[in-house]
Amino acid sequence: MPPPNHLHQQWIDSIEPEWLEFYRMTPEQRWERAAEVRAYYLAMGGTLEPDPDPQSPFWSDEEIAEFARAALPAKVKQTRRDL
Amino acid sequence: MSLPPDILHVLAAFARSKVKCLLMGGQACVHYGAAEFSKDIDFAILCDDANLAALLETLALLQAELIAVPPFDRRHLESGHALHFRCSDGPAKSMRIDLMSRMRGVAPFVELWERRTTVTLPDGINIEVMGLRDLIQAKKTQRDKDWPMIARLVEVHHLNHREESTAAQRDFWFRELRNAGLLTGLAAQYSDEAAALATERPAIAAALADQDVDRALRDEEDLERAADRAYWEPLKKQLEELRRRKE
Repeated sequence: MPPPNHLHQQWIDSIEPEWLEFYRMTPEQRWERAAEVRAYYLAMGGTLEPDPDPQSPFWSDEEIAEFARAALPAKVKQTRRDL
Repeated sequence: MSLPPDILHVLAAFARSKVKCLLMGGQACVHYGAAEFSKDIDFAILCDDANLAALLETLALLQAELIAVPPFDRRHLESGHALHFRCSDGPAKSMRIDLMSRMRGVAPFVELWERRTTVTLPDGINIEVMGLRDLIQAKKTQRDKDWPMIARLVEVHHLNHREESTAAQRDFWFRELRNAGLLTGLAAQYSDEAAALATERPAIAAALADQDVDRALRDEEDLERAADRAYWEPLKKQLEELRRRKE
């Protein structure tokens, strides 16, 4: 069995520096960072609507299909122009 | 500490209303260091008549409307369903709020409440957050996305406490770590404590025996996911029936 510190260092080395920094923050600092990330996400056109999740028991097949249809119109329209 | 205004508005409304609830889901994962941000707000709530009355008043103040089945009914919460709301207007416009009262493998609310973490905002508002161990139990679902989150929740705790850990903290890591290397390292460092728990978790036994810990962790996850699918099977049928009735 490898020495414990070696295994811990391997794990540290596998983490992206930004995530490691986030991990080491206090909860208050994490909330601050989350607010910044969320503001950037929304400024870039992100939506607060949930992502459809076929594995979630909260989503019906119809809701997932509806979401997929709503996400596809540009492609569908382009295909029709080609015709 | 500055929170996004819409999230702060919802959290403050719940705090002022004295609705007995615990922040869980993505926002709690931000608190514990496993998620960078979350779009919505999830609460575990105490399911009694007085609390549900306070909850309804708060949802009305937030102009939160029920957006999916099941309808608002104590029986649905007690059965394990989630209620889904969206704020239609006001400072929290578009914010989604999901509520649950009972979750598979998770202790009753009164026990969760005893183990909660309280966050006090600069203006004195207290936000009650589900305890880390309970949050991890709540995340043991059939969904792919919850498992890396569980791994990160434990790893962050391990990273920040490993230098001066207590026996209780190590017990938590032995039971919940999902990283084979970290679990193996912990077992090497605290072999007596690992041996005492090896019969309860095959992944610990595998770590002690220098066997395939990753495989043991995958088996463990597969069992939990299968149990969650079985738990939700009758609930999903109820949801389908409610959707049919609504049409």
